[in-house]
Amino acid sequence: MTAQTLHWLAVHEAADLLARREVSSVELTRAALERIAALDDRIHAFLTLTEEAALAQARAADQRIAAGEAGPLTGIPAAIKDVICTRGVRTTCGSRILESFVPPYDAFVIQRLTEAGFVMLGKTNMDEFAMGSSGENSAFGATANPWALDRVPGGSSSGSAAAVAAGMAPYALGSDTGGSIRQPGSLTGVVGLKPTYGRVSRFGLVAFGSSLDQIGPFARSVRDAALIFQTIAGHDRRDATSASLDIPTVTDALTQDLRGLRIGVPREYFVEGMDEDVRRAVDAAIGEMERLGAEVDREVSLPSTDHALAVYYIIAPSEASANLARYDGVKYGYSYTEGQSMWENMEKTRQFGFGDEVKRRIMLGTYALSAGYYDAYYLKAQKVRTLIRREFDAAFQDHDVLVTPVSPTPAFKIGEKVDDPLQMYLSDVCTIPVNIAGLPGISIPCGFSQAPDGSKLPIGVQVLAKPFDEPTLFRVAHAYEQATDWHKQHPEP
Amino acid sequence: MHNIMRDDEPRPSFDKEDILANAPQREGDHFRVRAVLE
Repeated sequence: MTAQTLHWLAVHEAADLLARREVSSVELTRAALERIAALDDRIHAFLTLTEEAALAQARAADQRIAAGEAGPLTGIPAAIKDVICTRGVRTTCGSRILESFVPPYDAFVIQRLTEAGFVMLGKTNMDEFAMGSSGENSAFGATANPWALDRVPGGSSSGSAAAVAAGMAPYALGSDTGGSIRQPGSLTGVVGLKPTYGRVSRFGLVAFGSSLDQIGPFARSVRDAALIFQTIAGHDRRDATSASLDIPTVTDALTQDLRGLRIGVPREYFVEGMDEDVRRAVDAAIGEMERLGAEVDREVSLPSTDHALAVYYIIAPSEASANLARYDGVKYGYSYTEGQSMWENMEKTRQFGFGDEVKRRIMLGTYALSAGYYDAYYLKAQKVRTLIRREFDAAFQDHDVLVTPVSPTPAFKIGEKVDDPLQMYLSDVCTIPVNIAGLPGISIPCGFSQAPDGSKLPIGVQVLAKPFDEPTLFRVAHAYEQATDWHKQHPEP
Repeated sequence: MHNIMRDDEPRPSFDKEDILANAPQREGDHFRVRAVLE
């Protein structure tokens, strides 16, 4: 096995090699760490590397494999977004205010992965507190897109997406509040899944918008995403929104054809101003699904889609302003201590600890929730939210899945949208309604656009299903993926 | 309508030292802040 072939192994391929003892977890882990050492100066996907702990976990995994006690993820290295708490490993959320924070506990998903024989390579870069669509809001510097180093990888899970796309990690976890897994998945050419709201416990996920946040995987194949989903999903009493439902064996749904499947294509998602290459690639993907036996209805309409962005930018900042009230410099993290009073210290802690976008959203949220404005903004937004959900429910009466673009454009240049927050917010116009309605959504590679300098820029297609119907999502995504070779193409940074 | 509250069972909570380990300033078993009252 050469290092080159190890970098691009899918999780299920690596698991087969581990089971046959053709490679060890220590070898896989070393190869990943070498790849990170060679590339990450230019990509900046990682904020913290945990090399020694990773090798110790890999040795433990090799023992488990030798004892015949391995599961599908045992011994496979992974990268974790730095918004997910890891006991003893600092968790910054891409923010100065948590630069020194070392969680005293593991998130539920980390406990699940640890039971599965997890090897953690490190914690990945992200937009501060998951607020952003490009990775540029990280307090620790932007992440580069492995396909074009002068472009963004999307966000907020910028480092997790870039790490998987660049062959630095076979899989990664991210979080998705308005598209933060699917949009970077699309812009870096990897599979990104946001499970149904309630499927994966958020215990230990640093909260942003609590009625929207979900944790999900990045991987280089749909089968891998399904395996990881199955490992991290399930009920947890420490997250009050966690659903008490059995987890279906989603890998059973991975078949090659789509006969009998009803696909709806909502026309509002083909927005004005979207990139022509994106439109063409998504149209071609829908055509391929039709060829695989699906019935396609291109006349679906979800008229409230236009309001989703406005609803999101009331609900998410409102929830964020409440969630981020806890950063006071008293219990953990950055603390200004030179002031004359406790209040002055708290004020300065937040003034110096938070970046501009986080402050902008706290202000939007406190405004929308303030006396006199609550009914006009927050309450109204919640009512429109119900309308959006109902339109999806109606569309799913006659369709098994909906297929849409993920992002209206391929990866844009670093710096291109930083001075224009509204342009940046539009990056998530196709992903936000899915969080508003709590649906599961997946982004899968469906083509490339070409940048003026000749770089290939990945494009993703989004598949949406009814709440808790991840098996159908995986079925469609897998059948399409197997009929194409987009997921087999890799960047050469 | 029916009540779905779970039973009120005591469970172990975090270790005090673990929680105080991140405190920017501590005094004994407490988080230390500037005086709140004049």
